[in-house]
Amino acid sequence: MDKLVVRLYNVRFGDGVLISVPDRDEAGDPLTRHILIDVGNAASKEGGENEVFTPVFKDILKVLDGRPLDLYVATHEHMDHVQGLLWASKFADENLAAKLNIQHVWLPASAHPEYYDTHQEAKKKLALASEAYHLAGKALAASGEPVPEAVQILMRNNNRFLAASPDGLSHGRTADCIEFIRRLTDQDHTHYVHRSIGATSHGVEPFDLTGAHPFREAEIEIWAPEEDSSEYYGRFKPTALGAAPGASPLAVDGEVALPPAGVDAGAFYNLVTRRQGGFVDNLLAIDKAANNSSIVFCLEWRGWKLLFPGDAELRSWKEMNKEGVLSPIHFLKIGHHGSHNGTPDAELLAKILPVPAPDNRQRRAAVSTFPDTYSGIPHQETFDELRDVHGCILSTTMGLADGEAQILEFEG
Amino acid sequence: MKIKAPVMIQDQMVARSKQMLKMTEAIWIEEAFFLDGPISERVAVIDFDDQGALRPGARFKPPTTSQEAGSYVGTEAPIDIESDAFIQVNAFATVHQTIAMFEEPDTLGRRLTWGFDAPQLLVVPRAGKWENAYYERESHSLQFFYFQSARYDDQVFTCLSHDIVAHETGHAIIDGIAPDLYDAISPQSLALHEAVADLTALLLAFRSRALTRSVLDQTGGSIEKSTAFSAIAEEFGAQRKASGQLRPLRSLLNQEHMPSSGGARTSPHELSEVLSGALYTVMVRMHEDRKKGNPDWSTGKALFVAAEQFKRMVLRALDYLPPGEISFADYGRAITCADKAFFPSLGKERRWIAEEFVRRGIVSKLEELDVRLEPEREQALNQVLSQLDPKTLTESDWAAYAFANENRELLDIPADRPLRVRPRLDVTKRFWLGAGRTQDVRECIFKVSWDTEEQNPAGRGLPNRRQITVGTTLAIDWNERKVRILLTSDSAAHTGSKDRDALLLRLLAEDRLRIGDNAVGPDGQPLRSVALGEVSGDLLRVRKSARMLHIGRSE
Repeated sequence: MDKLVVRLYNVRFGDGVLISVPDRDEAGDPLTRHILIDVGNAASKEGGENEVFTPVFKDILKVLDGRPLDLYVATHEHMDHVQGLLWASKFADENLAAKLNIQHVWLPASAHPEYYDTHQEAKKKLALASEAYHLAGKALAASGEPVPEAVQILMRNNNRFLAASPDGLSHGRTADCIEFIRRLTDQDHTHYVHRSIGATSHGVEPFDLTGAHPFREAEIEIWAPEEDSSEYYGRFKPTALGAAPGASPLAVDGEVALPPAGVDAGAFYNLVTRRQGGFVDNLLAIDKAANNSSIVFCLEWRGWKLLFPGDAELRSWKEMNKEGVLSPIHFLKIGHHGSHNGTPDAELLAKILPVPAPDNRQRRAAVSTFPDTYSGIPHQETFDELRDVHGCILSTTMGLADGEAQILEFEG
Repeated sequence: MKIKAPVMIQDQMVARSKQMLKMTEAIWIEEAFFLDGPISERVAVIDFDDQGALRPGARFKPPTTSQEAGSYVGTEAPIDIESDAFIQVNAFATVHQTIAMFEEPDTLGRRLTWGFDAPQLLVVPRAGKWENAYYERESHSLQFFYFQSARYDDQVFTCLSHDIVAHETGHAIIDGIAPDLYDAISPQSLALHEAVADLTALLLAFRSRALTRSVLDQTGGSIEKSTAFSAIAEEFGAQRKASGQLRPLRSLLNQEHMPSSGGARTSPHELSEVLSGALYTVMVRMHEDRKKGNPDWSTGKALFVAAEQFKRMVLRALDYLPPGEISFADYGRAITCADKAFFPSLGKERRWIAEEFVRRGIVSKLEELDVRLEPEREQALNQVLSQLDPKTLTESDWAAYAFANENRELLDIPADRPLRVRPRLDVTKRFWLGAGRTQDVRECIFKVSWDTEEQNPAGRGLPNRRQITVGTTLAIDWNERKVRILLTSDSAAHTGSKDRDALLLRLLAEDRLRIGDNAVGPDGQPLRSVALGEVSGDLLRVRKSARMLHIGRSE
C-alpha cells in the first residue's frame, strides 16, 4: 500500500508544508514526487525565529533523498510565507537552491513582474494600498509613541510596497524574496497561476496546467485566485497626516493646528486625531488583500482530496463558491494559521466538508500556527467547529520542536 | 440672527443632463450667531486641505441693519461652485436647512439634540479622496470625500450633492432622536436609519421651488416620471462608472419587497429600499390625490401640500419610536400614531401606507398597524396621568423612574427587568386644521427601555446568548394629562431574531464584527471600521453596528 505524506513543519508563526506523492515516471515506474508550499515566518520576536529553517530544509533534503523538488508553490506575497528560502540560502546552506533542484515554481498571477502593466484597475488599487501603507508608516513614525510589536509585525509582513534592496538579497523584504523565488528555476518553468477550473470567468480563460507540473497520476486543480486580483482590494480610509515624520500628530508643517474660533478645542482635536487614525484598519485591509490572492489548490490522489488554501479569506472563498469550484475534500490545511477569518463560514464550509460526509474516509485538518503573535490566532472555536461539526481529526504544529514536522499519511 | 446663503439644488452633471438652468438657490438660516467658517452654535465647517492643514473658512459678512440678513463673502452671484467659499457655505447651509425642516412646529416641534454630548456637528466638506461620505458619532462629524470622475476629467465632491449632504445630516439627526439604532443588530433597524436618511433628502428636494417647477414642467405635472426626486445620489452613482446608464445609488421609485418567508435580507441598504419605496409610492399617490381634489390648484401647490403632509407623517413619527431595536412595522405604527393622534377619523393616507406595507410584505395584514389602545388600559393610564405633573415628569429623573417602575404593566415593562428612563421631551406640535387654521398641542414624550436576551446562533466564537434593547414610548397630552400615544417595541423584536442571527453571521464572516479581544487592533486600540462585540460571561452585546451605514455600499 502506498502512502501520500504531508509534512507540516513547525516554522513557528508561518507555513512550510512538504507533500510527498507516489507517482509514476515516463516509463510508468513508481517514484515519489514532492511539492513544497511556502516556508516562511512572521517577523516577530518569538514567532519569527529564522533558525527554525535550518532543520526544516535539512529534513526536506533528507526526504527528497537526491530527487528533485518537483513543484514549489509560493501561495502569496506575505513574509510569513516567502522569506524562508532566501534566508536559508543565505545563512544555512548557500547551495540550497541547487540541492533542491526545483522543477516548477508557482506564484499567484499578480506576482508576475509585468502584472500591473497589464492590469490597470489592479494597478490603481495597488497604488491606493501602497499610499495607505506608507501613510501608516509615517503615522507610526510621527506618533512619538513606541510602536506595538503586533503593528510592527503587520507592517513587516506587508512590506511588499518597499522597493527591492540594492543587492536584492534581503530576506526581510518581500520584493527580494519574490524575485529570489522567481529565479529558482528557469522562466519557462516559473508559472504565474490563477484558477484552472470552472467556466471562463471575468473574460479570462481558466489557467492551463499543461506543462505546469510533472504529475502523472495525481490530479491538481487550482481553485483560486482570480486572474485579476483587483477584486480583492478593500476600501482604504484616507488618513490625514499633514505632519512631517517625527512631528506631533497634531502639527501641520511643524505648527500645532489651532481650532477655528467658535469650535470647541476638545471636539476639534478629537476630530483631527480620528482623521489621523484608522491606519491600523487600513493595514488589516492590505493584509487581507494579499491573503485573498493566495493560490488555493486541491490535490486528488487515489480518491483522497487534499486542499491547500494558503491564507485565503472569505472574499476568495466566496469567489470560489460563485465559480462553482468548491467540492468535498478529505483534508484541509487550515488557512491563515487558524485565524477566525481564514476558514470560511458555515455555509461554504459545508460545501467542502459536508455533513454527513459523502464517503467513509476519515477527514483531517491541520494547522501551522504559533501562539501570542497575532491577537485571536489561533481561533479555538474554528478548530472546535472543524472537529465537532465536520468530524475532522485535528493536527497542529504547536508543541513540536522547532523544525519538527507534523506528519499525516494517506494510504492508497 | 439671519443669513441668506446659496445651496445646490441639484447635482451638477444631473442638472446639465436634464437641461436644468438653475443649480443653486438661496435659503435663509436663523441661528444665535454666525462666524467665519461658516460656524454657528450647532454646526461648524472644518475644511482641511490635502496636507491636513485648515483652509481659511468663508468670511462672515454681518448685516448692516437689524432688518437685513448676513451672508458669507465669496458666495455672491455669479457663483463659482468649486470655490472654497461656496463649498464651505453650501455644506453648512444644507445641513442647517435639514435641521430646520425637522424642527419646524409641524414636524417635531422641538430643538434637536445630537447623538453625542457636544453642541456642534462638525462638517468636513473635503475629508479626503474616496468614494464615500458618512456620519461618525465618535468624531461628532459629517465627512464628505471627493473622487476622480470615471467619466470626465473632473473631481466629484460629495459635499456638493444636495442629496448626499441631506442624507448624511439625516443620519446625524436620527442618531440624536433614536440613539439606540447606532448599536442595533436588527437589519430593519439599520435599514430604517438608511431609509429615513433617504426620505430626508427627498423631502428637502421637494422644498426647492426651482427644482419642483422644473421637474413638473418637464413631466407634465407628475413626480412619478422623473428621477429628480426618487433618485438618491444620482451623480455619485453615475460618476463612479466610466460608461453605461446613469444609475443613482438608490432609487425610491421601486417595487422592492421583503424576502419571502425563510429568506433573510441582511443588507441595510437593500432592505431600506423596501421601506423608502413603499413610502415614496404613497407620496406619489398623495400628490395625485391632491391634484384630483383641487382642480384649481397648480400642480406645484399640490406637490407642496402633499409633501408637507408626507413630511409630517414620516418625520414626526420618529419621536414616537420606541427605544431600542425597531422593525419597519414599529415605524409604520409610529406613523399611524403620529397621524391618528390628531386626525382620529380621517386617514386615507394611513390606509394607503398600511396597504403598501402589506403589498410589500412588511406586515402580513392591515391589522398589524392598528394602534388602538384597549379602553381599559387607556382609562387606567389616564387615571395615573391625571395625578402627574408633566413638568416634574420631564425634569426629574427620579419622578420619571418612579412613574415607569410603578406602572410596569401599563407600559409593557417586564416585572423582572431593570429599566432605564430616557430624557423626556417637551414638544409643541402644530396641526393644520384646513383653511389655514392651526392648533398647537404640547406633549411630554416619555421613553423607557430595558434589555432582553435571546439565543445566538451556534459557532464561530459567539456566546450562547445576546442582549438587545427594547422599550416603550408614551406621549402625554401636557394640558389634558391624557395618553395620546403608547407604543411598545414590536414583539417582532423577538420574532426578528432570525434576521439578527443572519446579520451577525454575515458580519462575522465578512470580518465586519469583531468579538471580545478580536475587536482590538494590533495597536491595542479598538478597530474603527468594524462593529464591536462585547462579551460578558456568556452574553454578547454588539456596539457601533451603524458604522456600516456609509453613502457608498460597503457590502
